[in-house]
Amino acid sequence: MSPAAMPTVEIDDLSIVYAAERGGTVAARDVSFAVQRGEIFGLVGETGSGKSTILRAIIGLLHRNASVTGGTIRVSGQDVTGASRDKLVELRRRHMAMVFQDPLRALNPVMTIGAQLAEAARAAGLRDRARIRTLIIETMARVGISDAQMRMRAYPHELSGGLRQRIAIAAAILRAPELILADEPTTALDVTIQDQILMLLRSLCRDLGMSVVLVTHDIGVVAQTCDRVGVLYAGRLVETGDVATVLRAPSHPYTAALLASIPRIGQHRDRLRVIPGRPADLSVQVDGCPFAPRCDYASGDCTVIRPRLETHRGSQMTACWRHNELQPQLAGAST
Amino acid sequence: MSTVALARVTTGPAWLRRLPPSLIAGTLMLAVAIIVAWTGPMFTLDPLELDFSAVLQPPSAEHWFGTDNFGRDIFSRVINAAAIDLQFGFLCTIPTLVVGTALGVVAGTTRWFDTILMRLVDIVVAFPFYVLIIAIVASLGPGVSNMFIAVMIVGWASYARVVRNEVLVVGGHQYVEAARVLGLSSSRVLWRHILPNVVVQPVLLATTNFSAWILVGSALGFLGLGVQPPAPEWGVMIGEGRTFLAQAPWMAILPGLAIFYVCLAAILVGDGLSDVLRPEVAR
Amino acid sequence: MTAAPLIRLAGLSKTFPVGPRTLLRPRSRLHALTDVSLDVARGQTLGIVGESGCGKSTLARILVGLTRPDAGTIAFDGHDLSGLRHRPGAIARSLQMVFQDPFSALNPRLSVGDTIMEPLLFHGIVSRAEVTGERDRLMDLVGLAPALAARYPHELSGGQRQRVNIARALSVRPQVVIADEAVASLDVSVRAQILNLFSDLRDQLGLTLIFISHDLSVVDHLCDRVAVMYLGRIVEEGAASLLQAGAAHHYTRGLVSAIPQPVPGARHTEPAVRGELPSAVHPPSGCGFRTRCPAAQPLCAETVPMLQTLAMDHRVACHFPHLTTQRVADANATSPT
Repeated sequence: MSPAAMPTVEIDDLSIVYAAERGGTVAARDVSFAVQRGEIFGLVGETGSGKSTILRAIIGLLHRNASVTGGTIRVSGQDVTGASRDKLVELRRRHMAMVFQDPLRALNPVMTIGAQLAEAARAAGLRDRARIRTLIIETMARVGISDAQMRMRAYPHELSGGLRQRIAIAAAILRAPELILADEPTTALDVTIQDQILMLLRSLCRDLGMSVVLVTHDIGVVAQTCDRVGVLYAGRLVETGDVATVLRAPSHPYTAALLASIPRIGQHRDRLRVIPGRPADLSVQVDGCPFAPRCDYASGDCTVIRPRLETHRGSQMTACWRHNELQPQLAGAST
Repeated sequence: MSTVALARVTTGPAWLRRLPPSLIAGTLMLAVAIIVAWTGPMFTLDPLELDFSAVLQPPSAEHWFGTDNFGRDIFSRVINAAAIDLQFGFLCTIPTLVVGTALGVVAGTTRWFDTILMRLVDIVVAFPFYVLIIAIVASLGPGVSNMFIAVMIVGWASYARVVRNEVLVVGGHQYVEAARVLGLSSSRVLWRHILPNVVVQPVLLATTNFSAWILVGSALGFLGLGVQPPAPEWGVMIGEGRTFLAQAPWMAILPGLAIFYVCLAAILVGDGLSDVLRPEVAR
Repeated sequence: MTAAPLIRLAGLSKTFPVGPRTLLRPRSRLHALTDVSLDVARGQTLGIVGESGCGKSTLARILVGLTRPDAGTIAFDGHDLSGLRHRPGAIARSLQMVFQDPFSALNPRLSVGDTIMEPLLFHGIVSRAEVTGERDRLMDLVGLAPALAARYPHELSGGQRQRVNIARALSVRPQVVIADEAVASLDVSVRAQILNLFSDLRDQLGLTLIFISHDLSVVDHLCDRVAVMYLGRIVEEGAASLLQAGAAHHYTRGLVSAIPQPVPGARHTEPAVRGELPSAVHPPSGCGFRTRCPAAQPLCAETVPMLQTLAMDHRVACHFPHLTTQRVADANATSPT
């Protein structure tokens, strides 16, 4: 495989377990997906779907009580799951960076913006002070901060949420990583600022050829930003594919139900469609499809045998036994 | 978390099984100390009886804890001192807890009172704790009643500050605002929604203060400012034993162990209570 | 106007002191609300939308009496409430609030049942003998199994907690329920359940609902009227349908196109609204939105635009509103100036 065709991220059959007093909680099970160069991949799911855990596993920052119990993660062709501590540091320095939900907590409150960006530049191996300074000013301009000289002297708390997130993105792209991991990067922001930041991520991706894995609970954000999407339910990838295809013609009942439960402007319904029941309890092992207890279309097999992700149509993959017969109904039900 | 590792009580009624073991152990230890303090003096020798034929005797079948430099039985002195020391602990802890909490609640709800009270707290807290108590007792004159007066002057301040801060924090919680919006009266909001969520902190503080007060009582006794010799008191006894530490170490060590036992009991109770009083953790 | 509105707000303003206390200079003041006037008719569902710092939560707190305005009046059902430190019980009960964070709005020491029964008993709404029956009825009304009455808040899911909050607000039989970002912290599928619950309750109980949200899609779905706020002022007000196409204020239009819609192919390449929110401590002169507005003119920096009637039931505070041809015709027909 030539380097150009090699995916930036390649995840195969990844399983992650949180240790607990009784048994354990499976945060991710048999998750597989790949993100190509220059692509924005959205991981969408509700609380407890495992989306943030998977993201943290990619950068090797799992919480202390979580561990990868199976599968592999490769970033730019290099193994993350089996990497030593030094190797991980090296991978993070050269290949990937992370943008968090709350930029105020991701930035050090007692360091100026300039000092923090300079630190990030030095971590990437730059030594020359003048070059670091030019690079910082260039990068700040790139993320849409025009008065860079002035902002470099500011402390994080003196900036608005939107500006702080731009700084966090600047710190992430400073050493030109191949991969940006973004964990709900706009959830804490206002709608108009969210719009600006998402647009920034898209243009950076296009101009610098970076790949982005974007974790979000908001399908709207995926629709506006991502090229491809993976839908997570209870730690399992239930559907992946091109954003346009998945949103227009979902092949998994959960994706369809999720789409139908979102209110949209100009589309009046007396009641929103509701997914019955409660989110899956991750500490309980189920044999069948985890969504079966809440699924309108579940039949006998669904509660017994777990469906694996398989090709539905074109690039669209789905983990549902009945995806072929359900297709027409789901497309109609999701809007 | 620490209590999870210890074995839970597995038999007995359900309410007992829900209690953390440290609370049960601490309460039992304290109960034993109180019973001993109450009934012990009926069975022991006279703690004041001098016997110059048997001074500085090591522990033996006749004198379980040995004798001191006047030939007094140390076992009976330790037992007889328990009543004084425990009383001192409780009599210092409970009134300061009640008064400090009440003042803190008023400060947390009334702004002008808050301004005055917090300046007073600042003054009390600005002095090192022991130095202030010793200074007050020294100026009033040694003795148990002056010791109480000194404790009252100093002791309320920590509760008042903690409670006042908690009232302000809890008062800003949304459930308190929700109660106000529902039209509940101010006193109702205070008693039902603020106080139950405030009392945890001062009660926990009281369990640690209880051992601190016993140590204060002992320290004042040791310095000759509290209980006056020849009356038995653990601090006084340690003070007397200090001179004979080399020849008769039991004179100081055994009353010291008694202090340790009571303080440990109080700390265990505090640890257990903190589990029980936090609804999100236990129940 | 056929009947007097249930709630009439006139000229409400509120500022908060910010920054450190200094000896010589007075502290700066944050302008949370400036000259807000609004009518809410009985049975209406009003959505109040805006981004952080627009004053929508301050407005909610003033409505339920948690904050008192610096200036202006609040009239409820003909009673003036603005001067009152404590509202009379019957009026206090009439206006209830559902808070944003369903967990911190519940006392951790009270069981679900006690939480719901407390206001019932305190106000004597039902007798002691009937109270458990009323509790079960309220729980059933909001879709909670009566068996949950013995549970404590930390034992419930987010959606269940919000149902308890709603049941408690309904226990005192309010006429108006104010929901302040009541679905913002919930997961998508749970959010749909709670939104459906709100619309069912409104229809069953004839509630007047004031739904405060940053989410325009939610407001568009649930509400029949909408007021858009920016930097402490109402900038546009009208039928909720104006969000679909008829918005006249440039801020409203930007806000609508900034919402990420879950439909493919609707991407824009330029940000819907440029720039950052100005400081509410030193708001811009003239129109608060002019620093970010695509249509700003010199006049906008000089004069504060007042809310003016653009068409029947549609008011906008803009010197140069965006007008569709239909709107222009309407405007000419209704306002002779």
